[in-house]
Amino acid sequence: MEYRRIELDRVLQEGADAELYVFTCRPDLTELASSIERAGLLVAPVLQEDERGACRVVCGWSRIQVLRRLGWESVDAFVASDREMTDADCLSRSILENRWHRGFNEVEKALLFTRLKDRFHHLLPGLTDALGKDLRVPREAKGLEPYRFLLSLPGPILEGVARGELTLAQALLLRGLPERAHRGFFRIVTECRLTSQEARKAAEWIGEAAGREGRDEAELIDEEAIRQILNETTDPRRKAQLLLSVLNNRRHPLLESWKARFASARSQLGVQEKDIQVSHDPTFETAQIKVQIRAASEPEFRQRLATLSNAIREGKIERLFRALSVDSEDLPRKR
Amino acid sequence: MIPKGGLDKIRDMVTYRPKHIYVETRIRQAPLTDRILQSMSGCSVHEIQDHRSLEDEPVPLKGYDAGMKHNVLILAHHPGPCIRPFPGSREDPTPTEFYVAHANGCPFDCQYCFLQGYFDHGAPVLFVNQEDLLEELAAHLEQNARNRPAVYHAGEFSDALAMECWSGFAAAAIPVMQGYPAARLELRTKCAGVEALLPEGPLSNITVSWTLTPWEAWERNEHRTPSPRVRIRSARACQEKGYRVGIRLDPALVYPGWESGYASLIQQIYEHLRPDGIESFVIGGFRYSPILGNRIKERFPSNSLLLPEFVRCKDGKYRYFRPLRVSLYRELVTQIRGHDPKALIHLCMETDQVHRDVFEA
Repeated sequence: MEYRRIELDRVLQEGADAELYVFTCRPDLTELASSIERAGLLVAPVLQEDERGACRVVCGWSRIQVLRRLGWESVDAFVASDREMTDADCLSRSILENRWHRGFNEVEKALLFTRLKDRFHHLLPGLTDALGKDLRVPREAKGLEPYRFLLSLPGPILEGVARGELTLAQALLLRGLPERAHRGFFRIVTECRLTSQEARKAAEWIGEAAGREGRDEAELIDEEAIRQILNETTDPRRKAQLLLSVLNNRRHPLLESWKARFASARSQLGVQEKDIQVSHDPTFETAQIKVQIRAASEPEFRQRLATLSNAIREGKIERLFRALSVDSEDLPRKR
Repeated sequence: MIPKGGLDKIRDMVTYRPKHIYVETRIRQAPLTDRILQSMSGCSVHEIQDHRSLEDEPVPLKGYDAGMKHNVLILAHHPGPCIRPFPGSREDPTPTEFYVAHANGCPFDCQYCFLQGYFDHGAPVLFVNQEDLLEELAAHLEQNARNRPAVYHAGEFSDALAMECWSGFAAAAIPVMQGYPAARLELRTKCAGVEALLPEGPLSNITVSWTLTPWEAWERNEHRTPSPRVRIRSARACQEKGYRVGIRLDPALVYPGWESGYASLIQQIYEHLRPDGIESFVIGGFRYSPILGNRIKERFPSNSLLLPEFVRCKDGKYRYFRPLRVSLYRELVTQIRGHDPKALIHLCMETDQVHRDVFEA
């Protein structure tokens, strides 16, 4: 291997062949660019040169991209011929450099695993040390499916995963949504900073509500109520709360309307929630109500009982029970 | 008139001719095994150790999918008691409802079937140690049904009659019921043409019951089953032969247009069956365990069974939200009573609250 100056136009830059040993997905190169501008290139790239003099990047793909943007015409690099440095050597070097310098993000893992399986399957046993314990190439085709799906996502979503805005688990939720809903869902997850569990709920609820209403998931995500939450609320956690609440209402319209009906009857009781708590079976499977009285003394207790007695006389308790009963006029409309 | 698409389905149905038969070594020499294998020449026969752990067996098909369901029949030995109390009455010191396990699973492939959440593979399993079962039934009747009522359900873990042409189970079990008028054997099925398989001169304590759904729900959800119309005709033939007939609207399904679908189904039932020969109606809203829900989503991703509003009930199963259920039940009860005000109607696996909502409203 030689350390020498190479013109950048000799370095392959496009297509699968150029990226044969490259497992890099770094959407944001600003920091690297400013470092190179400030301090120059600190680590030399490694290149494999073929007999025609064309160079393929083994290590330093991002650095060379930045150098091109900065207008450099050549670079000092370690260069080896394809006889000196075989596929196995190049892969090993590329993997080790990635692991040592910054580790693999999920997109990079997907690139690595699929390429090793598809193109370099025969070299896998020899790469065990380079891969270490943290990079386990799935043995079965089924284990690779999530990674293949990830790589099939559009650029902006892929970059979001590479940046860590979307976890692998969250990205895989997109499998349950039609392609046209992917970008919208990505926006929801990133802007509301949904946890994995919240994102799973959101995806499931969007699917349920859209299915029930016979609508498209993309249309539902793009609805005014959801757009408003994303555009008008600033705190991501508040956005998440509002979003899940809107979706839950959409998912259980009847249940939510019953909750509202009961809440309205309860509010007419005219009692303080902290003194007298009235609740119902959360699923409305029974028509029972539970009344809890809090009192610190006998007079207080007597006073609260009197309040309840008044409510009974005024028919307010009956109204509560009515809110829990299935009357013919409350039944879902025939379609 | 048969609706569009119906003819294809009819051609496709009741043609369960398995390609592979898996036989447990233990019952390889059993007389019933011999008989079944002789009647199915041309099938490939594979000896297995235990049908409950197929994953370890060198067999051509495994797992829970349509291929397994339609192409494989398993002949096995039933381990342990074949008659057990119904799940709901297990805590009862003197249970009166029992199920009879002559088979597990069935060749039909209904998308809502709760058995999808029960078994690891989809192939129907026929227990060929039938002598043991019949002896157990006789002893059980003597002990539990001599002086008090007891109901024996065949068709809980399998269709009671779908494999009757091979097993002859019902024909053998019916005579055992003689002398126990307080006991009742219910043979629940979705089959057609079964009247020919059942013995003449039926006992009054045998009920052949049919699970029915409206035509459009059948088309959408019940693969490889006879149409509801054909089932009703078979029920009529059984009535004519002297059998008591039960109608099971379980699962009762909510879908767009369910009201007219069920009205038309109930109309057909009363057009063909004598009301006084209908033992009872049982109605049970569609319900599912989380395991079944996952299996439905996985096997039938575009199915609309899970779209209506469900709530998770105390037993862990999801049921239609109470107002939906009550609406469904009230409508069905009204329809049935419109034809026969004296019809005996039960709700299946329902709460006291729902019974009150439906029958005391």
